[in-house]
Amino acid sequence: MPAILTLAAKDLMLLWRDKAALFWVFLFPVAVAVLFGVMFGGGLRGVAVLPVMLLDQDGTPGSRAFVKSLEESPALKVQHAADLEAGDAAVRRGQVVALLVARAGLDKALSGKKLDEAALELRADPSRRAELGVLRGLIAEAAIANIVVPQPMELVPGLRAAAGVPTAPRLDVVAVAGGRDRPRTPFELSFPAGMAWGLIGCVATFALSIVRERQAGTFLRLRAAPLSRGDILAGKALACWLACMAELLLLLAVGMLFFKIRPGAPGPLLAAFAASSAGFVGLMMLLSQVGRGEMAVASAGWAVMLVLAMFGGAMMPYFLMPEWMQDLGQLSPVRWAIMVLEGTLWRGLSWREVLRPCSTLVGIGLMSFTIGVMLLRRRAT
Amino acid sequence: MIRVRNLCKSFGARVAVEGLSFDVDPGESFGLLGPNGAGKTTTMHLLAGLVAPDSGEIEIANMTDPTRKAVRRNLGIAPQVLALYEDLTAEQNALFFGRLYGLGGAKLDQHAAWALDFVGLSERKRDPVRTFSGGMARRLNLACALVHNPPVLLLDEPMAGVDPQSRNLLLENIRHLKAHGRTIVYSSHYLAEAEQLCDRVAIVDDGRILALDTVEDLVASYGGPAQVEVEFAGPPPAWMGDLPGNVAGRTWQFQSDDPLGYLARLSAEGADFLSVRVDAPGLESVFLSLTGRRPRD
Repeated sequence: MPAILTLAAKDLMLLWRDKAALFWVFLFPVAVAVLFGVMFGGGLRGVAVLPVMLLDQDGTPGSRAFVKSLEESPALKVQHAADLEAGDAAVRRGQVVALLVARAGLDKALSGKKLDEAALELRADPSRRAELGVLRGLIAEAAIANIVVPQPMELVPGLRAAAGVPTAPRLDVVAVAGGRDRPRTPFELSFPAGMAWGLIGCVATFALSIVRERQAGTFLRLRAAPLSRGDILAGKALACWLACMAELLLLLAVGMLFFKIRPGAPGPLLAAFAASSAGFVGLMMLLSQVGRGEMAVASAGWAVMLVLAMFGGAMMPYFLMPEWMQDLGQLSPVRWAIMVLEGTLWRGLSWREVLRPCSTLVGIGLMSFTIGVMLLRRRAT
Repeated sequence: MIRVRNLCKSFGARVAVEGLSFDVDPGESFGLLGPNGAGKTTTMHLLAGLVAPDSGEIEIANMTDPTRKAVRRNLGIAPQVLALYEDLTAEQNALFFGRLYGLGGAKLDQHAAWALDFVGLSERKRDPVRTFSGGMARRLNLACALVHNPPVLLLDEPMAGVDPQSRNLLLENIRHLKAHGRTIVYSSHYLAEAEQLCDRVAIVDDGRILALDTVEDLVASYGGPAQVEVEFAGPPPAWMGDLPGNVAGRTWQFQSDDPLGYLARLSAEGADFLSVRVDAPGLESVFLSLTGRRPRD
């Protein structure tokens, strides 16, 4: 057999014997193809939904009908705010696109056919322009559907406009985004995503370094030293955490020096950096154990991280995803990292507001680190 | 210094070590000889606490449980695989592994410099390991095991894949360490090295010790007779028919435990030799006798 064929046959045999590599080479692409097909082909509940909060201050039959119209919209996921403050907090944390307040007098405005006087207030994060555009359309639809108009106008298309009935309600938009009503520059939006990609790079690099240590035998020498296994893993974790922090601080410095990024309070920002790094360190440990060889871990690491990035909103706007994807996105550390980094970089999230995403990131990190260590122990014995 | 009793280890259905028992005295150089897959590396890993035994006992420096830090401080291991960071320099590797054993400051610098000098790598200490030949990397592998000055050394196939020059240097290094009182457990399938270096040798195959003794006693017990080939200057003496072996032309081949006795008799009878070759039995023949195959088969 010619040498080239012999070499090729050997590599194919090695691939065939590496079950993990086989999965990433053959099965994973099929899974991704199916996943994207479902996302873009309208399968499952393939409709993007916008999470919004409603606060009905009018409390009249008309306002209730208006709220019901919104609740019935398949494009909205409606929650009810206890009060203005709770709604604003949810907007600031990025949990909902906006808080829609039906102010006193809405019923009167709708029944008086004076839609332009509709007492509606949209308290929103102005950076989410695309989502707000969709939301405005849905609100207009619900408002128009609840205007009391003579029957002929309902029956004859175009008669509303001819009669002078407004086709869109007036919304008073109030910006709710911490201390600032909008990002100072587009870079304040792009840098959190860039930071998340940097974290992904750190994870892939350090996961591979663990495999290389195992294959090169240096891990064996480390284990023969007077160190506990915990010492060795903690050393790896610390190195990865420091690299993640350095990456985040570098991007912050570049953003501040050259792109006019002006972060909020330093305390919550550093907490966000530390928690994001911790979350990704845990992932690193888990990914380093998904295969035996360098090839398997490299493929698996990037594949998993790409999926997490996709579900986490680093590859497409979160609001464009179907509801089931948004739900799954809650499990992605990328989602939480982008949320908390954005929140502390320019939304001005407070200590209290960063607590939830930070603790979620640390929780994900601890859980994945623990699973990774368990896999490592099982492999070592 | 080292006491091992009934050590057993299996990986799934495969038995790697089965009931190993031996002692190594302080300052002794002890060889584990056997073919690939005999269980030598597993035994080394068990001694270093890298894998847990299924059963049996290990005692090193009067302490059981080799995973204890106090035990590990007494051990230096040169693994069969080159356990080095290729992108670091030789010096950085030595310093790193020294630090892991608690060395620091000037003492660490001294130890690292000594270890690198000992293996003849002082001049290349600032070069990345990836630029080293196989033999140089093997020498650095030994230096990293020595840097914390351990009384017990576990050397797992320390000559594997090295050039003759590095092999000689490594042999000299290990002899020196032995002469300075280090206790050495040495695994190899190169029997000639073991004959030169080891006070006692255990012949291992399929995870079991087949024989354990000094090289001389093993040869005496299992080595068999010497192989002798004599070429006469003229026709062989007519009375040679009384002697063992085969005569073909002017060449006589025979096996004997006392080859010199036969040769002395021939010489006394006036036989004229052109050449005489005596292959004395060694560990190779011991191994062949015990296992029915050669160690590199």
